[in-house]
Amino acid sequence: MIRIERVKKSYRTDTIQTTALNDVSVHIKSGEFVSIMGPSGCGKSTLMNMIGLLDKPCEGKIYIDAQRIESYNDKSIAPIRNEKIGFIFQSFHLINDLSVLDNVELPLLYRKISAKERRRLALEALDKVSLNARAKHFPNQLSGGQQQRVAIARAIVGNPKILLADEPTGNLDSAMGNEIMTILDDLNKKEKTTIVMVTHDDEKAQLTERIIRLFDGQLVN
Amino acid sequence: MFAHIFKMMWQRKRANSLIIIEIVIAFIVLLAVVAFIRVSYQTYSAPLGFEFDNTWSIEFEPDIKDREKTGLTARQTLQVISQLPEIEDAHTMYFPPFIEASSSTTIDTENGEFFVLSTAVSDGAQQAMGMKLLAGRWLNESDNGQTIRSVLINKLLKDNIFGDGNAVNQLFDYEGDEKLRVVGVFEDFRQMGEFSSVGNYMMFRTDLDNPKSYYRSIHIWVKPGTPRAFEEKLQKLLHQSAPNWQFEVTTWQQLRDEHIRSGMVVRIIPIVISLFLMLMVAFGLLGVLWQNVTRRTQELGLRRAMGATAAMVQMQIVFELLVISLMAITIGFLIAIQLPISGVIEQLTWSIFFQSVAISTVIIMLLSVACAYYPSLIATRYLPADALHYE
Repeated sequence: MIRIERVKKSYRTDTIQTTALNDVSVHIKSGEFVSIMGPSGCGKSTLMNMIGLLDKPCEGKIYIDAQRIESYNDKSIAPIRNEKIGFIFQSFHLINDLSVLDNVELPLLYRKISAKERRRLALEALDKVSLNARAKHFPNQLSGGQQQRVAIARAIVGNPKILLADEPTGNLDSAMGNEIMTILDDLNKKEKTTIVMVTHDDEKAQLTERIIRLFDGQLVN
Repeated sequence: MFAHIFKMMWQRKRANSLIIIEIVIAFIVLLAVVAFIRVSYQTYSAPLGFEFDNTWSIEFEPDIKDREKTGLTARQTLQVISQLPEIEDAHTMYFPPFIEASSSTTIDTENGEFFVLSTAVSDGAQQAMGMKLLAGRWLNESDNGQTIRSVLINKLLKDNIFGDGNAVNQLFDYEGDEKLRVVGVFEDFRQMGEFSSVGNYMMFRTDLDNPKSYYRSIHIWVKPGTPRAFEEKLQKLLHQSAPNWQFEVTTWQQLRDEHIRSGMVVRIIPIVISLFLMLMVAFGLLGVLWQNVTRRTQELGLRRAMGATAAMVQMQIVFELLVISLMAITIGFLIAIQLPISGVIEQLTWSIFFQSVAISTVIIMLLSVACAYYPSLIATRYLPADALHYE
């Protein structure tokens, strides 16, 4: 499903070159629930961005569904992001000027789908996270946990095969964090969605099938 | 997608209202400038009604205390210079072309009151100037001794007073109890030049045989190719004829050049100031949009993570501003249309108004695209990962 081969990524400022990933190779099978762990600055989010095609590696190869995509241009990558990958972010990244329903519809705007169908799919996704009743609300009228559930609904509305969650419980208390983990676990078990989750929380990582550990930009397990 | 963009714009109406106000002001200023240029161009390109080639003006300061003596001297001078081989024709004219001076009066008719400019010329001056007679005849000796003064009127004045009917031999009231008889209708005589508005005009006759006739300039039509050096010979002759008078010889072409130069200055200064204002508005708009787009960097990163291409995001920003601009233009249009409705500015016809609206709309839309394009280009240059973490 996802294959990262000998990926290197470094960032250069005026004076310093920082290596974020150094010769990292990862293989994630379809339907797996994998967590990525490591201390701050070890390259977890960078690896996640590589998998999600939000960033480009300096070296190495990235395969999604056996398609080598690291050299694809913006126009070719956009439909892969839209159709195959769903994103959940630590800070939710909801658009405060849009209602919950409109936020959830967002990925479908970039597909050729009628407004009616978009609405139906968005309500269906909100139903999966038990937030139908809040469809007309705005993000700032919701709690952190509810906002993250909206973000999950947005991530799954297009029925992607891969869900990338960057510290999805990082901004939530433990009860809300557990609620989110339950939703993710259900999506993995029931929908067979491949989930890759970055986390600091060892307890949450233990709930996944496999843990990839990173240290100073390198794999350690 | 359009509904989505409109929803976002509605939610951001407070922030957008500032941009709208700025564009409304820019639109109205631009509309005023374009309409001003359009009116000026229309006025400038309207026919003058006379020719000015090879014509020289001799201005003199007459002694108004002794009109008869002045008239005699002027007539003698006219006769003397008419004999010169370089001169084809010579006439008198009370107010020559291309100067900002004329007789004016208001004529009260059944069709309303009309403001009219006028001058007086000697017989044959109209033919020498190449003026076009549309009906009747030019003024001539047969107008001597008439109890009702004869007059020539331009077509506009004829249309205003007599409408579609015949004007020749018709009478109209002039300055109280006097009546004037129309003996001919000419196309036009825009005495004050290309920048003067097209208006009502009439011409009286200067009878050179009448000792009481009074005029302050002589105009000569020189043979084509007559060099400017002829002025020296002319000045000598003029001083011999009237030793105590001061003569100023100028070609009509020079008078016209000066008229155009001063007319252009009067028009260019407000246009330059307005364009400077437009430039300031463009910079202001660019700054506001830049800030607006920068503030939305995370949202733009999110949209790309959700499947939008950089081009789509850029198009969305440009489209949003075009919609905002159209809203502002609509508001500006509703404000500006009060001018032609109220008729405060006579020259601002509906045709000129709508042409100016169309031109101003295109310019504002192009300005909006230009102002939105660069900040959106910068915003989409970030990789989505960087945009999502942009603070």
